[in-house]
Amino acid sequence: MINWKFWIGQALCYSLFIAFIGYFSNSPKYQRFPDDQATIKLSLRHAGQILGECRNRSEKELAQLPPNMRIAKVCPRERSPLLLDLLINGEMVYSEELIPRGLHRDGLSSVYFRVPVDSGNIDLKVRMKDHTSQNDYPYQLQKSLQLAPAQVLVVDFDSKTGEFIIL
Amino acid sequence: MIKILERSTLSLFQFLENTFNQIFGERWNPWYQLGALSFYFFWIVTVTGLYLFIFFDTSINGAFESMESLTHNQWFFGGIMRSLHRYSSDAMAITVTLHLLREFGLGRFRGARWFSWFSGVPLLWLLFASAIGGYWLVWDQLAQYVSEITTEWFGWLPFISDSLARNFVSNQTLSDRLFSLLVFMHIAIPLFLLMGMFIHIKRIKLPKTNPPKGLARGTLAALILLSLIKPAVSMDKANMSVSVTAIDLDWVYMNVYPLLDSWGYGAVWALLVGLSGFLALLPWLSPDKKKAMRVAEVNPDNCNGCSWCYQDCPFEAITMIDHEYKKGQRQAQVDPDLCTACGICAGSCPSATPFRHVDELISGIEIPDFSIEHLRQETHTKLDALTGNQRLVVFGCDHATDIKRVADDQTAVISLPCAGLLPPSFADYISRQPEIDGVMVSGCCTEDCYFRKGTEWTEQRFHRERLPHLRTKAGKEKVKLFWAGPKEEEKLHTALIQYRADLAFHKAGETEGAGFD
Repeated sequence: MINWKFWIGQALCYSLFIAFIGYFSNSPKYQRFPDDQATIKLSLRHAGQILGECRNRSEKELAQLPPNMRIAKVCPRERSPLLLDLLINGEMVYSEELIPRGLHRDGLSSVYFRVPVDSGNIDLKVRMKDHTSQNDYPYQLQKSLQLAPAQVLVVDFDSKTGEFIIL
Repeated sequence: MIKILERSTLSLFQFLENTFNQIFGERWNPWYQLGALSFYFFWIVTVTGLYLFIFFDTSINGAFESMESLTHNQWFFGGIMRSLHRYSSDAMAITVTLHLLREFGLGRFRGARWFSWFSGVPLLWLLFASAIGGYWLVWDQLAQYVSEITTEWFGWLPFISDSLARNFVSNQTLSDRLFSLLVFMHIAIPLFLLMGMFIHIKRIKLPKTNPPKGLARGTLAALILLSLIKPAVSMDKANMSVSVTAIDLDWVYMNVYPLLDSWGYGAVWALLVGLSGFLALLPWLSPDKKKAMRVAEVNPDNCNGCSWCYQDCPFEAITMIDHEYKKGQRQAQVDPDLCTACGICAGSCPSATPFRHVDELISGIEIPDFSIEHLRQETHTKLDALTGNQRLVVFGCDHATDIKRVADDQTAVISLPCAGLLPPSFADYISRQPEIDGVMVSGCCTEDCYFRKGTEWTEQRFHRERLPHLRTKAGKEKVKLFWAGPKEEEKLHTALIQYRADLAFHKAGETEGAGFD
């Protein structure tokens, strides 16, 4: 004889199981931030200038080195950190000293920074120094922009041209 | 604190298990099959994933389009396969989480069981990484959100470069080769997961990795039904120049993602690493460490090298080695790191028979606090205290129904670490005592022995399907087996009343064969 209680009970349990999975696999909707908000991403990689000066080894110094290492010109490896600022509508939202990678600090400095902003008109200013001795910012970008709701604006830097670029 | 949490979790699971026993029966009860169901879902995900891979295009534009085409143009099969792929992986996360909680409640992380527990912790990370990686491949807005947040989250770590997040910063920085890498990762990580699952069950004999057919069919049918009712679909195509503000999150796998937005990356790392560390160290934080470290002892004088204990140990803690001093003979050796002190080995030992004519009854292998001599003395003491007309002895298990509740002036109760510790000859010995009318052996329900195989092996030994056999001359009705999980005292009470009635009936000569078979 078919035990209906047994089968109906199982059907109910299976239904609850799939209802749980079915619902939570894509619900409830997660509202990350308001629909009218835009995003600015500051994302760049650049090598700071080498700290210190290159110099020529003396004859005595060269003589002390093994023959295969007798290179006259020696340069320090350490690079300068980058000094990077991001200002939106005149307000500083990011200002960091970006340390070069590597044990000898001889690699690239990089940054990835994301900040939500209200959509509409904004005044964007980004500036960077690539040597600690620089008094002024040799790399700058200042722009008025119209940001649409949910727009993502990316600020990158082209090391070849030495210019900030907007993606 | 851990004990309180453990007891509360166990109570909840025991309630659920007993309720589901009424609906599914013990055989199909999903709470007893959580580990096996997790394996089963993994295989469904694998098979469906292989099918999806045939049609998947590993490029920025092709990824989304190929999934859309499969979902809509081939909804009758490809769409179902995609939905099954997603829902089975969700189901696996659920069964794995419940499996973890249940094992915690049962205290199956202590002593020799530390390895399975400990090796399960990294599997959680691999499972989540496998699943979340799959969402990237669809390359819809959910993938966009997940890729952005995940790379930022990992980029927060000091030893991981910011470049990780730069890969997903704009449409220009994406490349088709990146998708090839993502596909590779979505195959490689689940393979590592599978290897980890293999290691997870490495230390146990005959692991249960397949659910019973009825449960497997029911679960698959339910998931197919869900796939038809609510097919898995993509959000709009990813576009890195537009933020995703509202997301159809898979809350089963991505429940920490909103925390990443609100708490920050460091706090979520602290939470997850802290939780994982706590789980991994739990076996050593356990207050019952001393008790759990009790192990079986081999007595070479009485070990004849039969290897029955070696065959029966559910944790592969016993190996057979050359006998210490008997040339050409073998003897058992216990690995204390693997022994759970369940006593199933003692129950299998042919020398563990109280019929032996020796001054001191010592068997080949014993649990220190529960030797056969100790058990014989305790049983006799309790038998002497019985005064009722129909005298029964009930042997029970510390982890199953509480037999103490049925103790009275005509019922002696003796609780063992596991029913499998009781040698069949011992039940025979007690049943032959003239003042005893019957012996009931009780233990965990058939699908959920605390020590995995105690119930099954005992059942087989008493039914003469496994050595050592029960060889009773006192009448088979005098030994009865009864299996029930914790908090099923009412069931035991009813079974005992019925057994008494059967014995009385048999004694009156009106019926026969009311015994264990």
